[in-house]
Amino acid sequence: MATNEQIQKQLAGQEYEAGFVTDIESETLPPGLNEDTIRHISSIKGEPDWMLDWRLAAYRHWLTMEEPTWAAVDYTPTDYQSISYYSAPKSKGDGPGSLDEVDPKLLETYEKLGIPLREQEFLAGVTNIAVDAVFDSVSVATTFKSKLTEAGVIFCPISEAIREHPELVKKYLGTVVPQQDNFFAALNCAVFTDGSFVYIPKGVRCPMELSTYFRINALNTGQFERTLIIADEGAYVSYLEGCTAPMRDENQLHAAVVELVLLDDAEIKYATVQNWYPGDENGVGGIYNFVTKRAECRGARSKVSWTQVETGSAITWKYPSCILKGDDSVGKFYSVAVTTHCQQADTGTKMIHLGKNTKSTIISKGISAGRAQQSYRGLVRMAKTAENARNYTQCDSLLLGDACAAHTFPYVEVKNSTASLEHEATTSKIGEDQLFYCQQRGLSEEDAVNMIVNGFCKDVFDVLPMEFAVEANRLIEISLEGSVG
Amino acid sequence: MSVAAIRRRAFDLFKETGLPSTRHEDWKYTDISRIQHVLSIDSSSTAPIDNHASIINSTAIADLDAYKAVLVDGVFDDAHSNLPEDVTVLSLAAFLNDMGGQAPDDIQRLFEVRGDEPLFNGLLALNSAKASDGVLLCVANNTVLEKPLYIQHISTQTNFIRHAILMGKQAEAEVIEHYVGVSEEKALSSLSSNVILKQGARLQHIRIQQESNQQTHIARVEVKQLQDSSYTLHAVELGCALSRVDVVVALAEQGATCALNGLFVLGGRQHVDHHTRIDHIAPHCTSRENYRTVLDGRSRAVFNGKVVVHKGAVKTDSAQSNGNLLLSKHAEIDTKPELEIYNDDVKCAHGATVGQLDEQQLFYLRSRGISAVAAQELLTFAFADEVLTSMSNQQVRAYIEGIAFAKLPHGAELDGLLG
Amino acid sequence: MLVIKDLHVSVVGKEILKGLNLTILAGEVHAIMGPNGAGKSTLANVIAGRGGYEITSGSVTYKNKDLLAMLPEERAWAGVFLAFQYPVEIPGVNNTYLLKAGVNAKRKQQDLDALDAIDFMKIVKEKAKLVELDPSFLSRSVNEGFSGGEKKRNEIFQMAVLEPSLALLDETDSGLDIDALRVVAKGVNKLRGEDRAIMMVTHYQRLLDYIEPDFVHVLANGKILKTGDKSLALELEERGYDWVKAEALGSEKSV
Repeated sequence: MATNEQIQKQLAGQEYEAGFVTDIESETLPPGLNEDTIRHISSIKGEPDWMLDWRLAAYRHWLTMEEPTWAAVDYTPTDYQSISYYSAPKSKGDGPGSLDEVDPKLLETYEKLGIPLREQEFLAGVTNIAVDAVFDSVSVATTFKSKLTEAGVIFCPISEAIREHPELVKKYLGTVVPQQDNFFAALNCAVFTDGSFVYIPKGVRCPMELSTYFRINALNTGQFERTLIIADEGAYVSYLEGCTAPMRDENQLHAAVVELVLLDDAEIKYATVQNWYPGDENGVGGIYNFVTKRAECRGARSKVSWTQVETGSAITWKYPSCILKGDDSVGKFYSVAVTTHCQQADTGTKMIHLGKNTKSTIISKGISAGRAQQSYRGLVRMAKTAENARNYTQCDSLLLGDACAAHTFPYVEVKNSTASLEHEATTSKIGEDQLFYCQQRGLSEEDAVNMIVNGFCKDVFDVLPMEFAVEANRLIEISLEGSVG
Repeated sequence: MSVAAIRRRAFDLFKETGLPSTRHEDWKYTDISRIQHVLSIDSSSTAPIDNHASIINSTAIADLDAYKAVLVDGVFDDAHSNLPEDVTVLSLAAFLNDMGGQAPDDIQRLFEVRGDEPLFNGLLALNSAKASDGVLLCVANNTVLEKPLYIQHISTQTNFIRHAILMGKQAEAEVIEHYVGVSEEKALSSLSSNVILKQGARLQHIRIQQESNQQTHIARVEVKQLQDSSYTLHAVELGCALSRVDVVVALAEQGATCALNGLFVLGGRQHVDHHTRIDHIAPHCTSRENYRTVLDGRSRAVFNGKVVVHKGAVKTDSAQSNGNLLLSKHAEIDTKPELEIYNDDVKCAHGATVGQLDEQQLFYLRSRGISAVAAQELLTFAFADEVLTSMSNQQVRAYIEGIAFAKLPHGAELDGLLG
Repeated sequence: MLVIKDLHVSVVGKEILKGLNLTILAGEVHAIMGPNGAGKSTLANVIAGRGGYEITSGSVTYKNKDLLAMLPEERAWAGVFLAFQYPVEIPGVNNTYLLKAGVNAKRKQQDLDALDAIDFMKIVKEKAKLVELDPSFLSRSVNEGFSGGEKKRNEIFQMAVLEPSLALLDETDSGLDIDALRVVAKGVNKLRGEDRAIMMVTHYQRLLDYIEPDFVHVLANGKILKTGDKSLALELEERGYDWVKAEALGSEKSV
């Protein structure tokens, strides 16, 4: 019969597959953060003055802020002067040109991670995805640019967008997550180095899935990615994001900001598989993942969905949110978070209903094992103006082992009498009777655990894009892999 | 240490902490700065009310078959009380007086405020320091209190009261606290009830808050439960401009069971905030929570239900539900059902809903010939009344239904329908 | 096939089985009857390897192997099947998927290739028909939202697919209407054969009209007190269990 001990042992067998280091020559700024660091980053990127001023304003505000402590996570605070704010593999040109210019070692890295950057591999037929690959602080390759350009879609590193499409960047950057938003967002505004920029013009359905793959490689380097996606009226895009990092004993900081803007009738599907290095079984090393992700449904009938599979990072602090401003706009949040060993995750979402007939759905599935701590923290706010707003929330936690913890902190604020809301939450362990039932039908305990966990997560896996659904399934299985008894 | 010394220390603690502000997470939605000036009024100089005998009679639950303890502005009124002989029910002030300030440890402990209690705030310390009286109920081992104990509170001005209920092994009792305010002043009623249930003890506890709509009611109910004990609370909020009640239950030994039920029927600019916290400390304990609010006018309700399952509290079974009905455009609800779990062998669930009446049910009633307005009222009443179905005292239930009913927008039209 | 010798089993310190002996040969159908709390379900669960039971002494040998030393899934691979008294709901886990994983795990043990989806579905559809299970159940989560009767039928369906050597039916008949009972019986009878054995735990003689047992045992006070043929079941239906207990007591005294 399964015991907690066995399940824990099974979980302890987890291995991190993306933990290798790429040996590549890099240009790295010395550690430390001051206005000169920011000027330096801005000048490397060849940014216009307005951008530099914007960064400096954010930095000056950041200096007045304090790191938040309300999340249920416990970690050694980062010494912001001891990390480097810029690291880039040495390359021939400046930014990605054609793939022939990309260092073969980088191509190899992404191949090892299962992210093919060579377009012909796609053309050979399996999938249809354009990829922007970000290595430490810079984008090293963006594929399928010409095909996308034909459709009028802009998909490029944000540093390139600042130079090439300043009018769009100026119009939208910081309008969803302002510079002063929160401690980590302000820091990101000051020092962000790269990330993706997407603009889908009016009425265009993006002809392929877009994807950004983030890789932290350099030692003692923080990654500050910034992504901005604008879906103009009637536009549609599905966007996937993946993240990995080498296994290192030091904690590394990742403080990203993602802004999504949706105009009338636009739709964005944003999916993340976050598999940053989680640290070892004793909690040594791992990524601090402090992320601000927010979508603003400005237009009527716009639709946004955040889907996340979170298996990595030592500390996760992340609340992908939807501001439902446009009438009849829809926000969705689907999340599976797995924490094992000493991982800590404080994650959830905010649904801010402002427009009439706005709808939101929250499905959150948390699995906590080992000595891990996991919290769901969510806010559903229905403002006075949100006539007939609707929300459905379901957040379930599954516990494996008696040393882990799971918490639920849902805030519900309703100021409109026509709004309706339903919130359900459960916490339970894998039932011994469920395990026995599966075993009685001939499944090994390990398979039984996997099957039950997958069943538990099904509502979320069902909405993942195909490519990611497979990846997510595999990741969870690796997390639960090992030997029984 | 003497009770007086404990109280002095509590007052120091109050001076240190002051009143909670909205910057405090537990007071995020409730602003009590309005009582600041109330506290500065020296209530002891105010003259006691006249004709209070008639007020006592007119505000009591009529024909209730119960023992009776009456407190007028925080002072025990012996003449109007009717206490049982075989069980100890006393005025706390009289008891302390008799003991010359050197009360037994059990009683002393009831005044202690350390500052690290769950949901501690400055007002709790102030209550300990200033409490003028209260009811001390001690039900001995294996004793059943024959009739319910009805504690009637009349308040016309600011008062501080501290109750203590000590239930011996296998003891059983029912206690009804009824708060009636007749003051048109912005007075404060500050309450603290300490409840201890020994092995196998059972307590039915009903709180009806029906103070005047100028008053502020701030209360704390703290319950400690030993093995296999059972505690049931029905907290009903009907009156006051502002009412805040903290309910803190510790399931300290295995097999203990608690059920917290709450009903708010609010209108005008009423603001009611209940924070409940249940600590599952021992294995095999069960907790149930059912709170419902019906909000009209510009009223606002806050519900925060926190369940903490400690390490080692295996086989915890906890379920919580919170339903809210907004009848008016300007009513507001903030709810936060929280779970903190440090153990895997648990079964916990919570749910919260905010919404309107079910269209299909409305249609069904109308198709049976009930007017739209009446159908709405009927369903609203049924929604609220669900909380009271678990109340065993039918007399009290009928009283609450009557008052709650009258508060509904078209309540009077419905009388006939419900019979 | 199955030999149980002097089996003593306790649950949280309370002895439930007190020296039970039972031998079941291939091709036989045994019915275990007895009053509530006699330990009938305990016996079935112990054979299948459910946790929470303390085996204080005795042995259970299955196909000449020590069954008690095997994990529940190893017992399943070796052909032991338990139709649960209360089938468990597993949200999100597809009924067919569970079965396929079970069948292929067993085949792997026997060094057989895994069945591909098409072959497997063929078997599944055929068996579903046998127990008159609505095909929509195949794609639903295991037992989730099934009625009591549907759950029991699903158990027999799973048994049909897994083709066990020793089937343990734990009160499979309780809560079934007569039509459902017929269907369940049909599934069980189909499974009967030279190299298979069936042990049915039941309260009611009714089931035995449809699945005729070779032996009927009375389990009471933690032991098999009496063994007979089908007529014993009829007698029990009429006279209850007390006379068996009294008889057993008498014989113990006389020894």
